Amino acid sequence: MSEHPPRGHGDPGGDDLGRETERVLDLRADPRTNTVVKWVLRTGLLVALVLLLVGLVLQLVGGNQHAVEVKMFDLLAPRPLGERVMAVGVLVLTLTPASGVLAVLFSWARERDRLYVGVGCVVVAVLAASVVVGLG
Amino acid sequence: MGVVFHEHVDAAIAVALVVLGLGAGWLGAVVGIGGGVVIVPALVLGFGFDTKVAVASSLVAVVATSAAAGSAYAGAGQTNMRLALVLEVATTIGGLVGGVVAVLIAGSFIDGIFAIVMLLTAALVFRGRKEGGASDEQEVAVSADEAGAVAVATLGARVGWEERGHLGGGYHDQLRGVVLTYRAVRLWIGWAVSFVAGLLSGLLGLGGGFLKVPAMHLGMRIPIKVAAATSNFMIGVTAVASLFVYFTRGYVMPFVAAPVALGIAVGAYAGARSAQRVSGRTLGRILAGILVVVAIQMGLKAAGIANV
Repeated sequence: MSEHPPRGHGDPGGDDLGRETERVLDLRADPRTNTVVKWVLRTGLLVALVLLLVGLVLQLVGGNQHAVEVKMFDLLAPRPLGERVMAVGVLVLTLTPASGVLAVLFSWARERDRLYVGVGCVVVAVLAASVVVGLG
Repeated sequence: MGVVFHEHVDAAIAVALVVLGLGAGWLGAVVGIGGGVVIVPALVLGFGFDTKVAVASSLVAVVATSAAAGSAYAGAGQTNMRLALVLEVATTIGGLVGGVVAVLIAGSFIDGIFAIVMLLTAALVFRGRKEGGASDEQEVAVSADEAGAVAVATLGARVGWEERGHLGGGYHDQLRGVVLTYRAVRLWIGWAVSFVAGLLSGLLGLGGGFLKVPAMHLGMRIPIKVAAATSNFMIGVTAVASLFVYFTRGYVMPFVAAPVALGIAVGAYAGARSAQRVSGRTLGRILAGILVVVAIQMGLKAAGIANV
């Protein structure tokens, strides 16, 4: 370890090595998938947090002091605006990791990686099943 | 079938919930656990919320934490997506089963199981994180040219199912400036533990990283950094499998979940940044002590002896 001094973000040598590694591992691993997933997760989280914050503020300003349960397919029922915005925020948050899985799935489909498209489809099917089971 | 009930939340309680999330997120990032093990007992014992509402709120918080940490790790290219989704088959099934069992059984059962898992977590946190030694991690290159040749050679090896499925991989360790490749072995251990982790996630509202990381690192010989990054991405997906059950059944209270999730996202971010400056070991020992005390309270509540 001592013969390889640590390299930071700004070090061009480290970055070159990082890029080269990415290029090489691109043969098998999936840095591009990683990047897509990063943005899907980040965007989903940010949108959800903004909705949760706005909803929370609306709810508190509205002076509503009842926390009630909200069902996933019941978002359109009449309820205080703040609560509705927060519920949509929770929904967006819930769909964020699921979207991450879909992003991975599409990326593998483009690479025609049949084995892993199959694996991804099983995961998506289980997630869909949990919605159906919850409703049942 | 809806259970119509409501909880009182005013501005003071909402602020307290945000603070709870902040603390759980910060502590989780510094000590290396998910926040669920703190959030659920705090909501049940401290705020007096229904256990299943507490679990559902915790799952929402777990998803937020996972999305925040998972995006950071994925950005660093350390997440092994193939491994994540292969193991996710087992965790999501576990999460779905856990969620279904949770909505069917009495809340006091969940309290009881939670008490046991808290004791287990306390023991793990007390011992601290174990790193290194176990993986087949190989330092293969110190230059870009070398990286090309060796990575292809190592990754090209084919032995068992794990190799055929290319479950191994490689990553660039920025700190040491080297390229590391690794192989995956004993997939069945990963699957078995992931199923249990998913089950506990659905039942108790935990992320289950405390089980998945050792299973990947010690069981499948995945480097600790890759195991942690992969686990972080997986936790969110697993939590969603059970959260869907809670959400469609009507156990999600946005007014409770929103402040906790907001707090934990900010807390986890701050914790990740201050992790270097704080002694995780000392904090871990303090947290272990608190967990034991709260586990006893949770156990008493489950037994119906004391309704705190």
